Amino acid sequence: MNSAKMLCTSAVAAVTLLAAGCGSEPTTSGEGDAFEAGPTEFLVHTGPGGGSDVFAREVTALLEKEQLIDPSSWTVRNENGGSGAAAMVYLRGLAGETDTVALSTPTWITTPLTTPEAAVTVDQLTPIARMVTEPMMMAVTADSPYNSLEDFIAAAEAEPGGLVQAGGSVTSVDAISGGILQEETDVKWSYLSFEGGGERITALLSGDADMMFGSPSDFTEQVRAGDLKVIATIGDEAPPLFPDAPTLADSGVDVEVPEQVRGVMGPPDMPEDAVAYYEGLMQDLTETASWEEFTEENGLTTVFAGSEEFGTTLEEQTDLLSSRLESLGLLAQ
Amino acid sequence: MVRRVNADLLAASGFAALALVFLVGGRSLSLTAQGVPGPGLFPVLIASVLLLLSVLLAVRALVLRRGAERSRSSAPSPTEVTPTALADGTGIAQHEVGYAGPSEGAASGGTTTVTEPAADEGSRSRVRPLLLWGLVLGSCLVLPVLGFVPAMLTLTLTLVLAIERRHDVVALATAVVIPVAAYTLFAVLLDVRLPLGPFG
Amino acid sequence: MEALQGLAGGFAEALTLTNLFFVLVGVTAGTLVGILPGLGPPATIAILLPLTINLEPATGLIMLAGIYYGAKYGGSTTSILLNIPGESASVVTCLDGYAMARQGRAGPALGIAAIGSFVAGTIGIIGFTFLAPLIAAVAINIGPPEYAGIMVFALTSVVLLAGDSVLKGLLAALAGLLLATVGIDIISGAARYTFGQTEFLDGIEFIALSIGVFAVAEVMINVEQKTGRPIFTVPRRLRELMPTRQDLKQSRFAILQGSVIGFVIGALPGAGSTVASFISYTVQKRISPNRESFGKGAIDGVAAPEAANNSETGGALIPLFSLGIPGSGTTAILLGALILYGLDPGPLLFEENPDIIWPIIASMYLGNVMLLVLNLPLVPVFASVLRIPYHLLYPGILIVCIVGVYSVRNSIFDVVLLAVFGLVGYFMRKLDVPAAPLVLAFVLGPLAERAVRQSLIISQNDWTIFLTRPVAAVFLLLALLLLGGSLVGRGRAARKEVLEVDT
Repeated sequence: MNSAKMLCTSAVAAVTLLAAGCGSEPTTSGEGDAFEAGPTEFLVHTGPGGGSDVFAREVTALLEKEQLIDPSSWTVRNENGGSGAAAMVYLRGLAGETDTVALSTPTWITTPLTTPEAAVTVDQLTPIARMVTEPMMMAVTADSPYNSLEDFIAAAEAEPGGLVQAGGSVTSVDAISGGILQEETDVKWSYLSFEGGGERITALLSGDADMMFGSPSDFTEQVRAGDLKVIATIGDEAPPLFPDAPTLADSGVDVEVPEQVRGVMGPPDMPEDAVAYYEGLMQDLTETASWEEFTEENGLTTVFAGSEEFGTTLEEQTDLLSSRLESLGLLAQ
Repeated sequence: MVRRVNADLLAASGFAALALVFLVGGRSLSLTAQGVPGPGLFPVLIASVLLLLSVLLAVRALVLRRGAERSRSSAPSPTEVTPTALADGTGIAQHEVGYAGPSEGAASGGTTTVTEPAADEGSRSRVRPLLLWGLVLGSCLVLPVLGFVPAMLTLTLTLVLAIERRHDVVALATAVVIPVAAYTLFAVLLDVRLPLGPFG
Repeated sequence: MEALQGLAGGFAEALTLTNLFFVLVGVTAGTLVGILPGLGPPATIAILLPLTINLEPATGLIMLAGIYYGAKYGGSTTSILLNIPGESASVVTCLDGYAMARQGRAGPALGIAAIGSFVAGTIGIIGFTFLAPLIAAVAINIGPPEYAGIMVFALTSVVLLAGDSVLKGLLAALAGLLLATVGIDIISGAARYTFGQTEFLDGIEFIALSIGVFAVAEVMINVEQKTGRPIFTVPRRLRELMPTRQDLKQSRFAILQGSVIGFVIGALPGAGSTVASFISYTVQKRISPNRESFGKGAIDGVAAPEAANNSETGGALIPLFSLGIPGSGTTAILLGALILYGLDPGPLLFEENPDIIWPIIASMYLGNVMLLVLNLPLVPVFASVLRIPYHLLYPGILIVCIVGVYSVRNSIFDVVLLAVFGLVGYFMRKLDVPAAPLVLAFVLGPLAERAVRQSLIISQNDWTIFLTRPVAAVFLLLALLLLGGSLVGRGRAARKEVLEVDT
């Protein structure tokens, strides 16, 4: 019995070691040696099919098409959870590494400000490149009585708290923008949170909500089908998809709202040559014809800027958002 | 009967504890926000009802225990097998004999006995499930440290050797094959990212 | 009729060798991955999405649609055989499906699940083909108050599922509701009950809870006995491994009713297949001639939710294709896929791309047929899995559960939660507290709470909105009737009790 047990134990040990070998993977480079472009993971904070995910995949496809990277060398990695918290925590854990970059959106700024459990703030990560921006648009049903932002504000004034804006979480950019407008015009309306974009548009179409803010590409199809109309730009420049939508200044509400900037970021302490590489890569991409086509189709405005300038943008946006969140009573600290 | 009462009392205390955790933990949540129900309203409401009902369960159990103690002298009525309805997904094979009929405040007074399956019906151990559980928890905790295959191998081999106490080839072989096969299927074929521990 | 013409054209396109091949690949891959718990349709499609990107739009989407269906078929297998609910919709199948497996009737259960799924899937696709515009128009008007009504109705049914001890069932359901409040509250932005843990920001992971409470607890219970033999008796004769004519007869209405309910509910954005399968189960329980055996192995208790689960697929595609609005996690991924292929999902999708959409729909019919042909012969094979001596089987079960839970978001935290809920489930079983109300309330609770609060925002805190909106009022009334009916029934039974004891 004893020898059998010994045999078993040694067999276990041997097999374990062998099997552990099965679990090995080539170690990643980037430990002080000069940076070499190679397989890269493109991190996004949404699940597959989500806004950032689709954007990241399209960017990857464009990079391949323009032969700026080798085919199939970039993969999109989804770390969805906690509205960006999971992705940011994951990225922070890769400090010093050079083979992962991430797509950042305003959520990366707002989530740490509103949820202390999020634990990682945007200034702990490395900004690489500022890519695109798009203003929010104001959309209503096609047969809505409101044809401009002023119409809506006037109606809201007559019925404080009566009109409804559909949108996402109460800490999302559309909610914050709505809050800013209400403060500026001294008018109140209610905010209705829905988790999915589909539910928001449904609420609008059914009349449960009176208006909503969203990206231009959220509405193009419905506008084309004649179900919705876009009546204003919530920003200072009308996007190419809806060039006639009056800006905030045109509507008499000249106030600064958060920008929907998408950019590329890297882990903390990313080596300079790696940052320079990705920065250059993105810059080259934005100068190509297919990029122009892509941004036009999706109503995006290219605002390319390198690492330093992007870092400044992030700081400015952080200040703006945190002061607004504070006045809305949503700041965590 | 006593077993049933004890079970109910334990269950009641478990639920009450849960309710208290949520009531205390939710102190900072506002009950209303701008006129409409706020984040705290729903949890506090549910927790309060939960607390109330767990007290009710405990009281009912105690009342029935007193009822049973009083009627202990009378001849035991034939136990009825009422297959307990099985929203717990177990299907049949409940070894406990339940109350005849619904248990809602039914002071039916009928004596019921709960029979534990005879000990000779294959050794029914209380320790083994808990041991198993400890093993599962342990292997999960070392999962990020050791990596998938080693951690799972530890699980299966310890299971086979220590809990099942089998030394036959088939059992050992299965214990080895399963983690490896799982790794191949998931990590290799399906590209699921599994922790690789120090070897990855 | 335009739809028929489109469909005919679609079939012509779809019946090419290439397309058929990809349908086959899709449904097979979907089934295999769907069998694995934790990897429901959303995860399956997510995993296989990169593979399809390089194909032509129509072909890629055909494959994705096949995966979607296949994953649904596969999900019920582990529910029935091993009491492992692969996704929230499979929980209801576990109830009677696993009970049947324990009685040695895993084969008929699997068989009826396959047949029911086929019929329901077909009905769903037919419904989609001909009723899409109509349903879309109606679905638009289903808003928060209506959802609230439906959810309250569903929650009331949950409690009544507790059977013997309504009090304990109620306690379990309340516990489930409470556990579901953990996480960020979208309406107020507050983080509830996270106790400082980042992992709790999105709430307690459903898969960890359900698989722990059902499957892990089941293993722990079974391990109490020294396991020398298979714990289930599996018949040897082929005839007993498939549903009998009697089974089919009993399930006829269940399948029909499940198909309709699943389809309608699937069309509502945000409702989800759990609601569909659960409501269909409850309805069947009320009207079934053998309602007494529900929960203990009623075959129509497997047929109904399985049917609902599958026809829901057809329903969920309606808001997606007709309005560009994804109704569930899976359809959101499909939406992303459509965008990646350069199609713009919106109300004009059908009009502008009929040559892509109709072949996809046609191939869904084909996929459905293929799945039946693939799955039915496999039923005896799957059922025979239960012949494996339990001590060889359960380590595998545990590992599959662990991987399944881990794969949802690569989180050890979730795996530890799995263990914790396994223990909780074990104690619940020992203390005779039903687990299904806990799990179902956990799913339905947040939907209900959110819908109620959204409704009050719309109505500015006017509670009469639930009565003035007709659909909402109807469901609330149904809930009341359900509650009233059951209480009366129990009251009568209790009185009979007392009378009997007296005599």
